[in-house]
Amino acid sequence: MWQFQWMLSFITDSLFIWITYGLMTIGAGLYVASKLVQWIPLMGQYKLPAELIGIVVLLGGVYLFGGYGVEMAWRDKVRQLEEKVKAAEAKSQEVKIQIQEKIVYKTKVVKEKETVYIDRIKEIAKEIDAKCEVDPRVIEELNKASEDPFKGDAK
Amino acid sequence: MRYLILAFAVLLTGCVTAPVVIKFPEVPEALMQKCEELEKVPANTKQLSTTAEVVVRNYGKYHVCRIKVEEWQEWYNANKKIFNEIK
Repeated sequence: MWQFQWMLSFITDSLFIWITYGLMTIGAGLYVASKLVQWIPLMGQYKLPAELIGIVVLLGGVYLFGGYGVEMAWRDKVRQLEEKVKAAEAKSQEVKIQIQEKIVYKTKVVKEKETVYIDRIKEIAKEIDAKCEVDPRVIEELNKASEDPFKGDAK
Repeated sequence: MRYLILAFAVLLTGCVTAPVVIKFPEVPEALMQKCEELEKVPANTKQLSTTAEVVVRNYGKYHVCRIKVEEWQEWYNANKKIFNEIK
């Protein structure tokens, strides 16, 4: 039945009410006509089909007319929800841009500070290298510690 | 029974989900990048200055990675708040 509702969603609000009026008019018209055709020669054979189709169309029109208020209320809710979603997506986009800018700025600060510290080390390199010699085993352990402990593992 | 099924089918037309689609929010590209691998001290290095330089660069990599994690958390919390407000 969702296909029915889905098809209804393509009908504009004003057209929807006119369709219901149209169906009710056609249905009532067919029903009344079915009562009149019996007096018209050769048209009597259409009495039953006209009556049946008239009733079905009239009922369909009444059903849609009854559902008009509900349909419009739902359409309004959907419209409100769509507006909210749009606003949320715009806000989310703003957050995305802000975060992107923050990352760029913070990373730049980190890199600048890193350069400052490395320059300071370079300034005193001769002095500290003369005072201390690093044992190769320390380097080996330091490098091992820097390795990803899960490297090669299946994720 | 046939009429009952028909009546239920007609009444069930009301049980349709609202056709509103919420797209998953886009993540900043910088957050999708992996953290850099830590740099290694060149083998047979005896100089403390070279070792210290590598350590400083690795600290830098850690800080950049930390920024990404913190911004991931901020992105998540901000988007959670934004989308929880849709009701």
